Amino acid sequence: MRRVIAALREITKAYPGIVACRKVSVELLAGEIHALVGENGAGKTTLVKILGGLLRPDTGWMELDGRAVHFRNPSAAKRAGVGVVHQAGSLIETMTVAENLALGTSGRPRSDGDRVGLWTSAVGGERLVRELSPRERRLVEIEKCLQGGARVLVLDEPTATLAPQESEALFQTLRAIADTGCAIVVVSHKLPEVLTHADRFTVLRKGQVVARLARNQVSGERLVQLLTSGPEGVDVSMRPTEDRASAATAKTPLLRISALCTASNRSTEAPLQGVDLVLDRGEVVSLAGRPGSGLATLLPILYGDCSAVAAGCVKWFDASGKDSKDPPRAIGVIPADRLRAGLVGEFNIAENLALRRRDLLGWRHALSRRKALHAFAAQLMRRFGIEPPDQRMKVSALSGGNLQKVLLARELDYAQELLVAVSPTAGLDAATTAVVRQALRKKAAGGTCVVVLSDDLDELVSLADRIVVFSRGRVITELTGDQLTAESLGLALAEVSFPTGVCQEQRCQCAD
Amino acid sequence: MSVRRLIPILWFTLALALALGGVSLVLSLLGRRPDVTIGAILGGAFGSEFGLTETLLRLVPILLCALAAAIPAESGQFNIGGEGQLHLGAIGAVAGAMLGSGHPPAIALSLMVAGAIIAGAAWGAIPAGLRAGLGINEALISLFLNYVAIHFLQYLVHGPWKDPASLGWPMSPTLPEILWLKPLGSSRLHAGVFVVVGLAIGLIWLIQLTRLGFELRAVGRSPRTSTTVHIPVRSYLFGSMVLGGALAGVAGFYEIAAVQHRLRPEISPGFGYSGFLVAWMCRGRLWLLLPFSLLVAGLVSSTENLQITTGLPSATAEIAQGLLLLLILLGTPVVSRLERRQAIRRALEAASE
Repeated sequence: MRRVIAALREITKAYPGIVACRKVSVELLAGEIHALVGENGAGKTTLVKILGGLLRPDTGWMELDGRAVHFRNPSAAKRAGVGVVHQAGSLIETMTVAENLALGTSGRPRSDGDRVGLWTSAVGGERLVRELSPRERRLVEIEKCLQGGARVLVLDEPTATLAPQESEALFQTLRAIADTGCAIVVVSHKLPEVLTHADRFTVLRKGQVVARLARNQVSGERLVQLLTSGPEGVDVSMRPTEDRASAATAKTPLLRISALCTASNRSTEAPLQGVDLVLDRGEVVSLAGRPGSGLATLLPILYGDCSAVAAGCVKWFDASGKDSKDPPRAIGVIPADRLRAGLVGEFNIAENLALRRRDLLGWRHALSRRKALHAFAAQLMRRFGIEPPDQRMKVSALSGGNLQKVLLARELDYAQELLVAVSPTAGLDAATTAVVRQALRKKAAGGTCVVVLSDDLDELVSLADRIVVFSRGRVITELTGDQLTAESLGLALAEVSFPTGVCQEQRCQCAD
Repeated sequence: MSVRRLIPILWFTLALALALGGVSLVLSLLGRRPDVTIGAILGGAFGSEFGLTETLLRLVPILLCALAAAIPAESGQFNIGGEGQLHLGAIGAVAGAMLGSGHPPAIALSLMVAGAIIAGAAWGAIPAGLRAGLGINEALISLFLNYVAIHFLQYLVHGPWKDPASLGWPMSPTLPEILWLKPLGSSRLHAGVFVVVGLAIGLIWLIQLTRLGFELRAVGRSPRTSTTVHIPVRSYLFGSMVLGGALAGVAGFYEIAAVQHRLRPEISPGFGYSGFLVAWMCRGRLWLLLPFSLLVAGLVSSTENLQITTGLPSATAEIAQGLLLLLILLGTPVVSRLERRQAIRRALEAASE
């Protein structure tokens, strides 16, 4: 029997309106990879934050080597030997690998390459972090934790942005680290991965532990069943192929971008260098690219803001096929930062739903107009199954899933020609993910062009009719049909099979 | 539900009591009996017809300056420039009167109002334009412009607009009596108080219930979201600040036309700052502007009168105002933490059922 290094005992943590964890106990064994699995809202991230000292539990305690410990802050957790690799990452982009590692330990500045460490030696200590691939970044973060003395290593969704091949390699590294006697915790929603690699599972549902399993006790179906509370669960791996077939008929163009170049001076984002892109009505197009690939430069152009365009042409087409330079009026937007760029946290649900229908409010008859507004909000909330039936609930108090539903309801109702969704299902549980994907596909089937951007390869693959892959400000390939798999997208993003610099010569030769 | 609604009100009451306690302490240190003095202050503010009319007289500029800060605050901006905008309003009103001399009084009065509104709005437009156009901090600019405005007024009354008959006092000539707003009965109070209270109710209604106010509040609470949904953010930033300046300018007009009848350096004993304090105390709860303005107006007028009759230190009102604001601001995080803890407790109870 392996030794228990760390344990959570009877942890309870509540937020206003929701209990995130209720009497959760988890034991972490030396030399094992322990997977925390559960839908979103199950309490995984809360547990990670408690482990890392970012949150203090309302009741319950942690044990390290059999002794109760209470972390007042993240550095206390770090001193005690708990290292956390958060989903967002904590590296400084403009510093080298070695400098980041030096910051992680004790602030003693070390010369480059002096202490690159075991797991990052292949990465290279003198490279800037912003030049690293997602997998290399993870390695640096892990190395940083280990050099800080971590014996318990916690990783929150470490493979969300990785291609399958990279994930495999990362798990092999984790296995090697576990073999040195560390306890490793992996939070993931990618079940096949953790099924293959983890030794032990704790399954959470709605803040409670529903099962503790060892690797040999569990099958994929059983795990899905546990996660989604059995019969009412939703098929997680849905790929709406029937929809796709119908969408293939009768395309009319919405937007044609040709030989587009931008004079971007943003240091982290590549300028566009001769991008050709056609968007048709009634299709779902995923745009894929690593951070810095130029997608962030393209985004405002899709919203109709051409101020960054240096050369090339952007043509919009109306339903009859007539072209114009002006974008259509109703472009729906689902931004990545939902609460800050999409919603007003201090407003209630009805007010947020009204942000696109401000014509419902008026100067005069304000009170009777409010009635119309509430009727409109009630109708949208019914249509999208937004759960708290109270329109007067502040949006900032809603769960992530309902937050996204409010935003989705508003933008789907508003969007006519084009809907741009950035990471539309990030952080949502399987059931809500299914609702969102279905709604987006339905919108496309109704003749709207839906554009999806995301870091999550599965999300890009499961929604799209085709995927356009960007790198360094260029379109490097387009995936359709049988190529719509996470594997081929991962390969494309890794630029394995596609030489760069293809479209260099095609200069912008548009008439206007 | 009901308890949660009550928490802020309870806190306001407690803050008021604590502020009174603080003032009592100061008064005892000065060798005065706090119970008698505070009784005199409250009685002086609201207990007699004379006191009440004097209080309402101060309500006019304080409520206007409170609106001048509260409306930009709804768009997420700080207008600390109410004092300067009031000064400019007074200058504009006098300029309007000069321009209108020789014309019928209706025209001259209209010119005074227009002059006050334009001057106040223009003074507000400086920080507004710098903020909306270049992103320069409007709080600092509006605050600094107060000093410019005060000194500009002093230059005028010491120099070009000085009354030759004033025996060397820095003041402009008295306006012709035909341009004075008539007082109500035997008091100094004028009908402007009804206009201003009506204006306040109208503006609060506009902000809480109409499309314009909805968009303004959206800009203040989430500028990025407002951009996403095509609300003209810059127009609202600029417009609300200019409107604030105009309202403070109107306060300057009333001080000239109804109270002082001439330009003097002592045009305002800090009405602009009192208004800003009121706006801060009411943050996000616009309907509170009316009762809080009334309270502060009572404090200001009563202590001013007691200063003359009993020699009460003139700083008493300022100490009371300052303590009140401080306690309410201190209470805000306490209140929200209490509310949050209650929400957590409810969640735990609901889960254990």
